[in-house]
Formats: sequence, structure tokens, C-alpha cells
Amino acid sequence: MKSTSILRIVTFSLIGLPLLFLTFKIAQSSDGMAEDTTSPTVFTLEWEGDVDVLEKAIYSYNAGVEIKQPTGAEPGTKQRLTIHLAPSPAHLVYNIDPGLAYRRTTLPYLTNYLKEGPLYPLSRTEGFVPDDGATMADVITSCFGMARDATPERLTAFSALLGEPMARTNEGLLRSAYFATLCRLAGIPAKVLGGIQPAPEGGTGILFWTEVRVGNFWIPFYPGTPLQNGMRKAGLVLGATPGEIRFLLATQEQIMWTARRPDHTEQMPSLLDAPKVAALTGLPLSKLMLLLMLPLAVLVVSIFKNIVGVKTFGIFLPALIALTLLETGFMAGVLLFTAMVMAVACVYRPLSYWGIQHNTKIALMLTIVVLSALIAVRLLAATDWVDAATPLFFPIVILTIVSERFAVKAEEENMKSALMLYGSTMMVTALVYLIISSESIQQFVLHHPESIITVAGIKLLLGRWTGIRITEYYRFYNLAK
Amino acid sequence: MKMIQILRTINRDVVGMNGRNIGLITPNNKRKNYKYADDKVLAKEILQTHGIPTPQTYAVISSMAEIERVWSELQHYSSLALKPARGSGGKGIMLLRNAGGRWHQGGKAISDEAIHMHIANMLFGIYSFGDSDTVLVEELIEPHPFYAEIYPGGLPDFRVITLQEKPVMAMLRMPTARSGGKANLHQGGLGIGINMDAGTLMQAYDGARYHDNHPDSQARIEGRDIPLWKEIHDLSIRTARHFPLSYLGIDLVMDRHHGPMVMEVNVRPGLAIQLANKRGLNNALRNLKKPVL
Repeated sequence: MKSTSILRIVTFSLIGLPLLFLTFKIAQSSDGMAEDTTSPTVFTLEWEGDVDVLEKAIYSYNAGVEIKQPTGAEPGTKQRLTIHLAPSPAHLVYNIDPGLAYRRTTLPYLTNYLKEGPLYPLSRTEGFVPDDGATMADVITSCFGMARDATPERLTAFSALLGEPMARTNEGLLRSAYFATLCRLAGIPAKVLGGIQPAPEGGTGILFWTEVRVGNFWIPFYPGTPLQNGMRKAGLVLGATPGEIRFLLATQEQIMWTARRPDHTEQMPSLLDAPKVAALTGLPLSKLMLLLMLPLAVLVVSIFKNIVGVKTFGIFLPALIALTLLETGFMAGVLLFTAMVMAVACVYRPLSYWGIQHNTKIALMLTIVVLSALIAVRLLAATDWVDAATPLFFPIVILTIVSERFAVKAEEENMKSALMLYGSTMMVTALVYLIISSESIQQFVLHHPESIITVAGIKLLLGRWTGIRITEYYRFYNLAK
Repeated sequence: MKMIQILRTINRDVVGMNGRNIGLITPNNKRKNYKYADDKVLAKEILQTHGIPTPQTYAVISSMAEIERVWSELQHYSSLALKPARGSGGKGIMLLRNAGGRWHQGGKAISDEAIHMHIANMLFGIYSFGDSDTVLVEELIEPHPFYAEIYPGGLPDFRVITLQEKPVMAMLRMPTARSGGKANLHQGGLGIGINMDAGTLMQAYDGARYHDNHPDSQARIEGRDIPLWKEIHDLSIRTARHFPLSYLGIDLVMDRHHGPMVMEVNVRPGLAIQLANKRGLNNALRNLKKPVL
């Protein structure tokens, strides 16, 4: 067989096989989904501790708690399970952008959180009608107020609407469910969650709260009566990546453990499910996501380079910068990054003028990058424009390389061509960012990591493509005129 | 409609960056042989072994410790060209002339320390993608009077593209006032197409439009006979024969005293030669009756 036909087979198998597998997964999941909607808040808990406490949790939470126990375990005995240590922040602050306009969610992957359910008796609850021009913050605040200030009579009436197996006496659960129901009626995705909390006299208690979807995040709210200063003391840590949530088990020992909150994709079989990997290894899901996004980001850059013909500082830099921007936020990140690159590039000329050797010059520039990052942190701490720690998110080596390449380009050609190249690099970065910041794509890649094999296949296809780049039509236009 | 016609012509005849890399370089040049072209010292060894005229090498500097000693041995020459052995696109080249016991670069006196610093930078690989490099010191070419008839200034050179030992396309690169002595197209130099059968110059391209006369001197370019074209043509075939690389861009200069000489060979010759010749490489290759792409 000719080597080109082998290559063709390899290419199309790489592209095709994950797609085939995906079709299989989707076919599987449509069966599982129907059952799943009846228990949308199923937890899988792994537990080390007294089984009695867990039984209490099962009783309070009632529906849909499934506990994986080593077989043959006796009630009242200690169970060995994995526990991960992680630092816990003192408190968490979240603000809803007051400019965020209110609208009903239409995103398909969130519609599960708008449905009727045992905890969410939408059809029998009177909802809240938002005014014209109300903001997201207004609507959520109104719903929250209704749930937090609901009279005991109102709560009892609501409790009667809940599905039969639900605990009806836990006030926290009732208020959380009421709040979530009101949010769902208003078209805002919401869900009730439960956790285990240290009680003031020792031992543990059960805590319920509501998470409301705002923008790309699930924001926790606690409409119940504060238990030991509520959530703050409980030390709940927000899993910024959906599918991951952490509970603080005991404040004294500072032991954190991670429970995975399955979503509808739980039912899908998968070769490599990133959330599963995260739960097993204790790796942060957000880091796994960055890892899985990298091949896709580089593919986008190579499409721009090989098909469009845009010139950039290397193939990895736009992809790496875009991944960094996921953590810093786009506008603040781009402006700060550019400011730092320009500031550091300015140092190149005097160093070159004084005849500093090239290697030493790079090493010096790295030091200057570190210094300027610290200065930027100090300056930003005095403003409330962005998080002061933003400059520290930029990988120092990437900043140094971009500054150096920029300065060399400016010296070898001129400032205009250096700025042009920087501009086109940032343009490609912005487009890569646009793609990798899409939550649908993030979720897709997290749950179907094998899709990066398709990405590899497309790269192979791209690598054999001999066509004219779009910018080359412009370059050679005079030739054929 | 006309525009679609133009785009279709480009698509059919022109070799773009992807076409060059995958269709021409990969199948014809083995990566392990790149070094014979990329390293000017190795390339000159091959050229000298086979008696192909090339500028004389005065010295090769390969470490910092040698700089002072080699430099002192070079003082009796009246002119020198210093080049990073693995530099590309003419980067880092330093042309020096000795006048009254002092070295001058571009008419301005330059100190020995500045020259040493430049050599050290070349050794550090600043012009060679960060790898450490060696420095080649060779004779400075005196341009043939033919060039001055068109435009006096800088050093014009010929570029011949060969595929499997056959010249496919050629151009003459000539400086302009705007390019400041450099002959590179993207620095404002002229690329002049060559009619290889007739040995005459064709239109000149400056990166934006075509000219029949040199834009600075107004001397006629189009139709001018190239002296010693036959030698240049044969020299490129001989060069191609002795390199283990089948797709080459050969750079030749014409010295006032020694005639055509091979300056260097390139494994990744640029694509602008198509603009200079107003013709796509695919079109030229089809005429060679050797379909490659």
C-alpha cells in the first residue's frame, strides 16, 4: 500500500473514531436522561467517618442519595475513603454585575435546571413577575427576599407541594427549594444542594442551600436561617467549574473533601471522563480543562497560520496567552499583558546599545518581567479595576518571550512591523479565547476528552494541505493581474 | 468576474507557503542534509571541493577566545565581510572596509570593541534562532560594472531556483534608494524577473508595482542583456549537482574581477521570485514537463 493511502486512512480514522464513539455516547445518554430528570440532585458521596452520620444525611436528604460503601460494612463502623487536603479560603465574595440585564435562559444545556421536579413544584407555585427593564440582580434579589422572608404558614403550604419522600420539616431545605422554584419560574437556572456541616456543639449537621446560575457560574445563596453564621463558617468553597463542589467537613481539622455532583452526562459511558479523573485524583477540574483545551487552541492558531496566513509570534504563544486570559478575564488581561510587554520591550534597546550579550539580555529581561509584575500588583492593589493578583497569572516566561520577540522585531525591522505582528498575534489570541471560553465547548471537551483525537486528525489533514493561504491571494494579486 | 479569474490563476499557478513546504521542500530536501545549505562554512567546503567559484574565506571564528587573535591576523586586508554561518535573510552581516588603518562600516568609522561585540553576538546565536553559531570572515565582493549601469550602490545578487538540477526560475535582486543598500524585496529592494532562455532582464517588482526602468536612476531594465548569463546558469546547475538537496535557491554574485560566484545556497527559498517573474512556480514547473505538485 502506498504511504499516502496509509496516511489518509490514519487521518480519517483519527477524525472519525471519536465521532463514532460520541454518537454511541449520545445514543446511550438519551436513554439514561429520562430517568435522570426524576432525581436531578443525586450525589455520589465518598465518606470516611461514622456511618450513622451518613444515615442521618440520607434520612434528611431522603431522595436520591446513593452511598458507595465497601461491601460488608457494618453500620456504626468507620469507613476508609479518600480524603483530599486543600486550603480553605476564609470567606468568599461574589457580586452580581448590576448591569447584567435580566432574561430567561435558553441555553440547551441548562434547561434541566428550569424543569419541574420533586423539590421544584413549578406548576403549583405562584411565581414572581419581573418589571420591565429589571436587571438580573433585581430579579434574583426579589426571589431571594420572598424565600428568606416567607412566613411559616407560607412555608408549610409550600412544603405540602413537595414530592412525598421529601423531608418537610427542615426549614433550610424548604426555603432553599422555594427560592430555587421561584428562580426556575423566572427562567433562571437554579438547584438545591445539600452538604454536611459541623454543628456548634460538635458533630455534624445537614445544610441546604440554593445555587443560581449567573453568567458562567453557579452562585450559592443561603435563604435558610443562618446556622452558625451560615455558609461563611461552613467554609463552602465555590467550584468555579461546573460539576465540582467541595465541602468542608470539620473546621477544626481543616479537612476538605470533594464530592462530585453528577450532571446529566453522568449516565454516559466514557473512556476518559475528566470530572471522573478529577474526582479520583483530586486534581482541580479547571486545570484538567486547560490541559484538554490546549490542543484545540493550538489547532485554531494553526488554522489561522496555514489557511488564513496570519503571522503570529510562534504557534504556541497565542494559544498560551488565550488560556491565561481565561483566568484573568479578557479585557483586563489583554490590556495588562500588552502594557507589560511594551514596558519590558523598552528595556531591550538600552541593553542592546550597551552591548549586553544576548543570553544575559534575556535573563535580565526575565528579572525585569518579575519586577514589573510585582510593581503592577502593587499599583493595581490601589485601584478596584481588576484583581490585583492578575499580573501573577501571566506565565513569566511567556511574557519574557513575547517582550523579547517584540523588541527583536522592532530592532530588525521597525516599530510598525513589530506592532503589526503583535496586533495580529493578539487578534488570533482573541479568536482563540472566544472559542475556548465558550462553556459549551469546555463542557464538551471535559466530558468527551477523546475529541482531542479528532483535533489531532484535523491537524494531520491541515499538515498535508498545499493550498494557497488567503493572505497569499492578496500578496500575489499583482502577479496575475 | 475579472477578480475571480485572477484568484483562479493564482490558485492554479502560484506556489504558496504550504505548497512550497509540503510539495517542494519535504519531498526534495532531507532534513539531515539541511546543514549543508544552512551552515555557510559547510556549504563553502562543498563548493570549494568541486571547484565552484565562491568568495574566499579568510577565517572562521568559532569561540569567544579566538576573537582577538583572529581579528589581529585580519588587519592586513582592505575589506572584509563578517557573516553568521547559520544566519538567514542577510541578518547580522557586517561589511567592513579599511581606510587609513581604521575600519569603516557604511562609511562610518567603527571601533574594534564594537566589531568584537558584534562577533560575540553572532557566536551567541542572536541571528541564528538562539543556537550558538560560528562566524565566517570572507572577501568583500566588488560589484560588476554591469550593475552600476542600472543603479550604483549596494550589492545586487542573482537567485536561481533549481529543482532536481534544473533551473526553474531566476531573478536579480537589486537595491534601491529606499532599501538602503539591501537587495531584499521586503526591505524595498527590486526583484527583477529573468528570461532564462534569452538571458535578459524582464520587469522589476518593488513589492507593490512593476517597473520597466529602475525607479531611482530611470535606467532601462526591461530587455537588458545579462553579461555572463550562460556562466551563471551553468554554475547553478553545477552547484545543484553537488548538493544532496534537490530543491534549492542558489544565490550568486558577479564580482568585478572574478565573475560569477556562488554566495550561498538556501533550502527554503522564498516565494517572491514568482512576483518578480510575473509567473507562478507551478506554471514554470509544468513547462519543465515534470509535474511535482
